[in-house]
Amino acid sequence: MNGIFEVRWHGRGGQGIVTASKILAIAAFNEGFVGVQSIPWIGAERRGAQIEAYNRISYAPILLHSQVYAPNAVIVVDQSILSENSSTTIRGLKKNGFLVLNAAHSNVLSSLRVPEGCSVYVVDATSICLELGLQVAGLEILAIPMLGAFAKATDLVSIKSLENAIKSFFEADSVKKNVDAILKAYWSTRKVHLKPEQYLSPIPPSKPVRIPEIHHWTDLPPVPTSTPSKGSIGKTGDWRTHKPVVDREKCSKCLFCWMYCPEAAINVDSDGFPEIDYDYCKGCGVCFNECPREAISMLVDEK
Amino acid sequence: METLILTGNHAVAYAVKMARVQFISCYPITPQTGIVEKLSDFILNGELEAVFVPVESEHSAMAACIGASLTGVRTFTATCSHGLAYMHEMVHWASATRLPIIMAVVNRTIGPPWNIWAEHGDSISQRDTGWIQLYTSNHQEAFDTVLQAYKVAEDPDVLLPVMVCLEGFVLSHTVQPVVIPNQEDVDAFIPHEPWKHIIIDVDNPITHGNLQMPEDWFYEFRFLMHRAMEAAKEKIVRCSKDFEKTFGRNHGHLVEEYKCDGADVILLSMGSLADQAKVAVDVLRDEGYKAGALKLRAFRPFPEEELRRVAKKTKCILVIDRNLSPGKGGAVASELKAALYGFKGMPMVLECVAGLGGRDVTLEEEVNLMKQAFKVVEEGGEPSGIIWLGLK
Repeated sequence: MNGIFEVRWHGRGGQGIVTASKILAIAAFNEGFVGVQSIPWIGAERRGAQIEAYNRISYAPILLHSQVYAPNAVIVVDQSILSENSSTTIRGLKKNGFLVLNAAHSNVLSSLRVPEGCSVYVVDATSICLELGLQVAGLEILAIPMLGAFAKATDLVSIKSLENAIKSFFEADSVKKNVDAILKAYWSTRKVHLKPEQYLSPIPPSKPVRIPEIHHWTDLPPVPTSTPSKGSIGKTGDWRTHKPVVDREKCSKCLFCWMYCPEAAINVDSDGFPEIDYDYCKGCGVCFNECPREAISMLVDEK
Repeated sequence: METLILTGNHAVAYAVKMARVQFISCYPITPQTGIVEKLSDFILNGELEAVFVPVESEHSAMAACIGASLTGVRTFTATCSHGLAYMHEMVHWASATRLPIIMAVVNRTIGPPWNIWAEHGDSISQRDTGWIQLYTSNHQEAFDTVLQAYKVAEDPDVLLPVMVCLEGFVLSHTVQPVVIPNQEDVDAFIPHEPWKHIIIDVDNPITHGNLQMPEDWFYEFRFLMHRAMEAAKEKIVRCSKDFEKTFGRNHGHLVEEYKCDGADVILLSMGSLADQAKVAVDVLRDEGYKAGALKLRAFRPFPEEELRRVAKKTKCILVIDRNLSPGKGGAVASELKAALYGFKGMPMVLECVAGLGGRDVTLEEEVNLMKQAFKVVEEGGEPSGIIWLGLK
């Protein structure tokens, strides 16, 4: 390996990509790389929202402190991100780079576009987490098995280094579960070959743009203001992994759920029952927690 | 029009009354208290129709002014020293929300050791908050500058709050004659038109100060504040000229020159010492010295071009700073040197820190300081660090 190997992680808040990028940095250091770096992308902490994290790995000390724009490898831990916006996930990915995906369903692969020469590896990280019970607060920690998949794909870090990193990072009682997830992923990761037409010229690196309607400072008012609007940052229901379901037989219409919902995503229907707006419900489970009748259950959301 | 013999504090209060300020929130602190008391009297006796909100701290006073200003009314507060330091967070909020709030800062030392007397360090500490800072040299100027401040702050190209600074006790508690203009003339000079860039209206709710991610527009909003400061330079000059047309008085625009043409040494200072420097120049001119005085009226925006224009005329600028950044020196000297650096034909700058903690600075001391500067110039010397005036 020459120079710096750069990695970009894509996931959702709560799936462990920031933790996993720290573990990868420790593992790479264990492996003998003098320069390692883990960079979380600090946004508003939003469980379920799309987030990124980065790694740099090098034989020499690293002096760069900016974010990663032209990664050698992209790891996508949540396949819904890939289907939503695949050009965002592969932006800047280098020719002959690595794309490591959590892809339980092969239909995701058929619509995939990757830079030419790119190696694509897939693993069913979701099933591994469910099987091992690798969950925190109801969310699968998908990024942990993806460490195993990354090791298999790039051969940059060994299982042994990852295991030692896990041991130094977690309390003793949760080490086994995490190591098992990495091992299972390592052995089940496979390389896939896409159709020739799925390989494209690389997408140039770019900084993300969040407010596309403004182009220049002359478009700005002196002070940023906004008026209340529904779903101004998109349908946040997409961030959900578990969804609350109301059992009308048990519900007493007390509307605690309506009152406690932090997102105002619960309405009251004409019969006085709470009605969850699944377009915007993020699946936080506050209603489930507050319901005095236990009339709300949280079910895995099959999106 | 009438002439009243007023304290500096009361001069400010009269100006606030004549500007028809609609909302005042203050927390009393020595030596600013006289402003608050007089304004309360004006409201009580019906001379000023304004809401006065007593608060438990300066932080709250500014927060209240921000809330009121967001509805489009003219607001005022006053503080200094520890009160201003305590207000600091809200000072940023006011300017970054681009609200034309006017605040009188009755400059006082920040302790410890405990000291309630004059020093510019309290407002200098707020240098980077995005407030326009105007320093006044006498009672009349304090009165006039409050009126000018509303005109500049509310200009749609500016929309920045203004600190009108006057030294504690030296100006706040002394009395001098102040010409009070006719109300109609003041009304015509600063008609109140509510600003349009942000207005809180309960029927049409908005959010302001929203999150800007690193890749969004935060950087550009700060650029716009800087741009507004740059625009304020021209607006301050124009406002000052218009003021002279209406009221016949001119305190200098961004800087005020006094006998600077042909001067070998120019004394640069802010506040009351700048008034006194004119007398020192007269004394020195009588003795045959080619002396001049320069008053820095606007510290923010910092009038770099004007200072360079004056600097070109002379061999040496001697700065008296009534403030100290320990480990560097006085703020005005530092910024002056930065403004001159790299331009052709710039003079030597000598720096003096004086008058901290209200230590009195006399005419004789100012004269002697300048004679020291003349000696350095004649001997072809170089600056040799801070001159400490009367260090015991």
